Amino acid sequence: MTEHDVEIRRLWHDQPGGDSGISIEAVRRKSRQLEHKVRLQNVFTAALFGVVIAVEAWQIWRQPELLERVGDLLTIAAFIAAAWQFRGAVGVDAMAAGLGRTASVDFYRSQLARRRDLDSHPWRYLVLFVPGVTLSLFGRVVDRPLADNVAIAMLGVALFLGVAWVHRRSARRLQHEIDSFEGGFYGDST
Amino acid sequence: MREQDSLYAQVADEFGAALERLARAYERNADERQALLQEIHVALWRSLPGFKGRCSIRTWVYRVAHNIATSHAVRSRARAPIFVAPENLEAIPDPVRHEPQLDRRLALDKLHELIRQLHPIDRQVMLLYLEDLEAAAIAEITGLSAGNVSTKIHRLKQVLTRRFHQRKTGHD
Repeated sequence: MTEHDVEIRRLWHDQPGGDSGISIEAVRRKSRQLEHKVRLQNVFTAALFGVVIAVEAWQIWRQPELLERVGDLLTIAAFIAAAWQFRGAVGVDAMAAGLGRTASVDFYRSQLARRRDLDSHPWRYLVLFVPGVTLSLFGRVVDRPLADNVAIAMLGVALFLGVAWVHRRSARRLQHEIDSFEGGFYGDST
Repeated sequence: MREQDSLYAQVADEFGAALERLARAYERNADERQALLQEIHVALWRSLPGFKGRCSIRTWVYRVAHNIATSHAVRSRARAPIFVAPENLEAIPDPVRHEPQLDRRLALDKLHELIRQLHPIDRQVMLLYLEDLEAAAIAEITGLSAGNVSTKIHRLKQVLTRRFHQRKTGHD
């Protein structure tokens, strides 16, 4: 060990302490707060889905056009399908135990992979809404001038393609980082 | 619950200071750092019922701590500086103003700043090395091979030493 090593390590270990003292009561309190926060987030998400579905259901009730009513019905179905895809979050206790069992390289890789997967397949979530939104938008296609319909269609397609492009770009960046684990210097992580 | 509390008390006593140093190396902002440290402690306490002794308690503690801290780093990536490889660290301007006689506080700030710029895995290896863990123990925590860890430590040490030496001689 060189003189510089010793100096850096001494500097590291001699740094002044201060905020490391966390009592068991504080940890328990924070843990309860975490559970409460997770529960609150779940309730909020469920409530948000409930409100959106209620609004769509009300639209079905008041829409005179059959196509628009079918569109709203399909949008409700899309929300339920999306909620189903995002269901099944792991409990906080199981998650905490998993942290101790997972080597940090694997954990980091899994974090990147989860984000990459979300970004790689935006269509998996977006496509669910296409039929409902399309029918809702074009339910009155015959009442509108052709130019308006074309503009709406182009805007819709551009929006979907734009979102997909941003996600795919982000997915490529994450994949590049994951590749650095698997093929490069970070390999041999077993 | 009593066993969990007792194990937690033992772990907090033994590794509390190291966890605090770890949080400092990950987060510059004092409030965020305190929140991160609390998050690590809560995760640790919650994880302990799952500890079955298949690895050492030290490995378990450091895995939980680094995984939480890495998660924090990934979450705050948008506002954090981009991670860099050790060899590129030397090209980054020194964030701390040079003084002829830098005190320990400035030197420590500089060390933290250097560590925060590292890629998460390099950062973990560096922090575990600074905590005096041997290559085999670092390998168990990170999942890298011992040889890979040794290579990384060698490179990281070279960079840190050079940066600190430059600081002292006054030409960066």
